[in-house]
Formats: sequence, structure tokens, C-alpha cells
Amino acid sequence: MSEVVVNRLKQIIAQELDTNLTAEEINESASLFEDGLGLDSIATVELISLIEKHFEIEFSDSELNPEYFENLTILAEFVVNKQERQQIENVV
Amino acid sequence: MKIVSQFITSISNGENRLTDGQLSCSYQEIPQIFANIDRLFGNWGIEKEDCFALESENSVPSALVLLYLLERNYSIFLLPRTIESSGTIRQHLPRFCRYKLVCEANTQNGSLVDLRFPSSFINLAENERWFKEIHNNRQKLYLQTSGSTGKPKMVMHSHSQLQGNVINCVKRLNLQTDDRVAIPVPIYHMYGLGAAFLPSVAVGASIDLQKGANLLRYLQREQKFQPNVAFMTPIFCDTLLKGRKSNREYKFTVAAGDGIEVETFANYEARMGCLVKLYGSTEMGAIAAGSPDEPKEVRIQVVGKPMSGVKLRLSTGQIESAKAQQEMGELWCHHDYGFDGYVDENGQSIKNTNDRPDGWFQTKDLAKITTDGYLEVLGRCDLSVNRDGLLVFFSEVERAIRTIEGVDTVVVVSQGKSIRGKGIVAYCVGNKGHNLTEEKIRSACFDVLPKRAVPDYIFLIDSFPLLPNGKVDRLQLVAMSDEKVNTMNLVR
Repeated sequence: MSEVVVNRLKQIIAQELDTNLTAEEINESASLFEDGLGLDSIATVELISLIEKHFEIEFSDSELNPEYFENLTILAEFVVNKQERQQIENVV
Repeated sequence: MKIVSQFITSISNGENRLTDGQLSCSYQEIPQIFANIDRLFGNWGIEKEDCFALESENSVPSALVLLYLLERNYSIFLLPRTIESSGTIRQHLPRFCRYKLVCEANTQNGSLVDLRFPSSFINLAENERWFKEIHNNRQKLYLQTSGSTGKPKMVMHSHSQLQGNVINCVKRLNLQTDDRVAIPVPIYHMYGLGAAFLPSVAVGASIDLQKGANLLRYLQREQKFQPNVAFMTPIFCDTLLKGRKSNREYKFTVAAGDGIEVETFANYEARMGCLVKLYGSTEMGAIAAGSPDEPKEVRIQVVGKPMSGVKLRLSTGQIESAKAQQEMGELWCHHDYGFDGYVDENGQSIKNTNDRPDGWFQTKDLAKITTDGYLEVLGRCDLSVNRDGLLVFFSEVERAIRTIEGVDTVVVVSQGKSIRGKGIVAYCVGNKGHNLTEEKIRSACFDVLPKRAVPDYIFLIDSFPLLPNGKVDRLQLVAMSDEKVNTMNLVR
């Protein structure tokens, strides 16, 4: 499941963010920031908004934590967990 | 420059600290750290007249060394940290700097340094280009201008003048010892140093120095440090507003740099509390600032009143040609705590009487001064062109285009010629989900601008190229417009 999300995140970054990267060039273990994909503040805000749109989740302020955005593998895990939590909450 | 020692004994609360999220130290620990650096400098054979290039970043080790050098009256050339292995000088340093200092937060094995042992976090390297015959000026601070509109210049300040600037900011902003100040702007620029860091140190406030701040890091640090005061750029205010989910009240936030939009200001105030504008430059330091005590209606319209020791006047010579523009003029500033002058790489003054005739500094900003003495800054004065015999100010064009539905931000540059005079090109970034085209924007321009001010070309782009200080890199935009116009991918 996480792998599917990783690939979707790569597509989102390549196609919808102004990064000048192709999905193939994006390494899921690389940092999203200066020493990796080089996302700046504006691109980060945009990425958060795109993730919320594509995966139908909503971050809280405390979830906007650099640890969850360390790389795409960790981010994908967070997205999957968040989706699962939301599904349970909706059922309850 | 006595900025630490003057108050250190008077702070009753020993808990106030400098932190960067990794390392921290209390004000009470600073004198002992300074004494240890004294010994280290003694071992290294540092002389009183030596000048240091300090590669600085928003970290506790960098901040401590910067404070130490100021406290011990050394001359300092402050520049941003570059990523390179320590001990080698790749950066082109001015010849008046004998040494370069770089401060590390981590030891070679990756653990955090111990601030009690300066040799563990200060690296010293000799500047191979140092020219020992140069007579060094003592107690000077050298800063580089941002280069947003031209080649960066080296600006020389006296420590004493800098201190005057610091006191001005403390008084105007009414900073207090029990304040908790977030500083995500770089301390190697005049704003971060002279308006944020040193004034906060001067009152003994708790300080959180944030390196490479982005939305996520800022929110994380905010949660841990719990600041009640923050120093930001307008772009970062905007990023916070777009990105954060919940509201949070600050005692006040200071915003400096490119002008902040009325809409952003109002939105920020509603969500994060009092916002205060600060206007200044690398050369002059803080020229004017709002006060948190002023009502919102005043703070939203104007920057604030001039700082103590500042005189302002408007030059209207060139602008008088346009009747509608008569009440504004180019801002000139006389500042008791302004810079000494520009210097070359030997530290010699670059004499140019045009820079400051009779001590008046040409800010190149377009401004208004209200009858109550408040300053309103409207944009760059040199960012204007003559069309149809009248001046067209880019700031006015940008303001009008931003009112077009779907346009988020816009930057106007001059490029080539048109039948109206000099050509103007507008670069626009649309709101999320906009359905704008370049043709639609240009067509809408005719409804919001006089014909002479309608840009010859409109280009829609995803984002603006930025300088390290967060300002839009207009020179790169001009280069982009050259390229775009030449490829004939044009609206008209």
C-alpha cells in the first residue's frame, strides 16, 4: 500500500510541483528539502495542499511535522496511517 | 560594543536562554564561554586589530561567536555559511580579513558540541589573500547588500552606530526580558541582526534561532519554544497563513523586507495577532517601524514613524511630471546611526559623493510622509519607467494586477521598448485552481490600469526565482523575460 502511495507522491511532485524533476528521478529515501529534492517553503505548502486533495486527508498543525516529511517513504506511511485512522473515525 | 555584559548581571531570571532547537545556553553561562574563547584566541595568537570573516548561520555557536566578537570590539565581516569542509577557504574573502571563523554544532563523530569548550565548535582558517599592510579599522561591522537590484556592495558600520540602531529597535518594539523571540530570518543580514537578534539579546529575552526555516520546521519550533514575538519576512507571513491550520496569537510579529499586502496584513492580524512593519536597509539599519501600541488601522496603512536620529525627506524632481503622483516622492534618509560608507576589498572607503550628499542617503524607494509624520513606502523608485511621457511605477502596476481575479502574485520588470516608451513585462503566479491565461490577464489589465501602464507582455509562471534573503530575484526575471520575448512566445 505504501509503495503505491510513494509512486503517487512521486507523480504529484513531478507533475504538479515546479521542481523540474521527473518521477523516475525522485528517490523515495531522499530528503524533501535542501539536501534532497530541494522543496522550498512555498513548494512545501503546495505539496501539503496536493496531498490533502489527492488522498482526501487533512493535516492538523501538529501533523505538519518535519519528521513526517523526512522522505517519501515516511510520508507515504503517514498518509496510509492517516487514511486508515480517518476511515475508522468515519465508521465509528 | 557592550551588548551582553551591560545587562547580564541585572537579569533576575536565570532561565532565559538562546536556543537553536539543538543547542542552548543561558545568559548566565555566556561570560564563562567568553572567557574560554579569550583563552582560545590567546593560544591562537589573535591580535586586537585582526579582522574576522565570520561565516554565520542561525545557530547558538555562531550567535555566541558573533556576540563575543562584538563584545571584544573586533572588526567582523559577516557572511552566510557556505557548505564546505572546514579549514579551507574557497570563498573569495576581502583582503582586510585575516581569518575566517566557522562554527560547528556537531563534532566529527556527529554528537553535539560542548559550548563550554570553544575549541570544539570554532574553526579558524587563515585568509590566504590577507594583505598585512592594510591598516585595519577597529570596531567595524561589514555587511553585504542583498544585490536584489544590482551587484552586492560591502557596507561598513561602526559598532557604536550599530548599538544606536539596536537601542532604537528595543524602544520602538518595546521588547521585554520575558519575551520569547522566534528568529527565522538570517542573523547575517541587517534585519535579522540589527532589528531582531541584537535587540532581543540587549533585553535578555529568550531567543529561538531558526536555520533554514520552512513552514514545517517553523511550526515544530513554535510548538516547542512557544514564542510570543517573531521576526519574519512578508513572504514567510504569507506561507504561514497558507500552511497553518489553526490560529495562534502572538504578542506581536515584525515583518520587514518587500512590502506586505493589505489583505495579507489583515488576514495575519486576524489569525496571529498584532503585526508591525519595519523599514530599513543594510546601509541605514532600521529607518522606521510601527509600534505594537499603535492601532491596527495605522499599522496596516503605514510603516510607522522614523526612528530616533532619523530625518526623512522626499525628492519630487522627476515625479512632478505626473500630477497624480505629486504627493509621493523618492525617499531620502539622514540617520545618526547609519553606515560609515561602502568599502572595497581592501577595506578602503569607496568615495562617491552621489551615495550620500550632505549625509543624506538615497533609498531609491518611493514613499509618502503623512502630516502626522508616518512613513508609507510604496515600492522601489528605480523600478519605474517613462511611458507616454509619465512615470509608470511597477509597484502601482503590480498592485492593480493583483486585483484581477485568479492572480495571486505579480512582479513587473522592464524589458525592451514599446510604442509607449520602455517596455514592461508582468510575471504572474495564479491562485490555486485558477483558469487564467496570459491573454485573459492582459485583457483584464485594461480595466484596472491606464493604457500607458498596461504591460506589453504577460507571462504566467509557477513561482518566482528568489534570492537567499527571500526577495524576488528581479535580475533573473529580466533575464527570463529576455529569453521569453526572444522566443516569440508572446501575448502580442
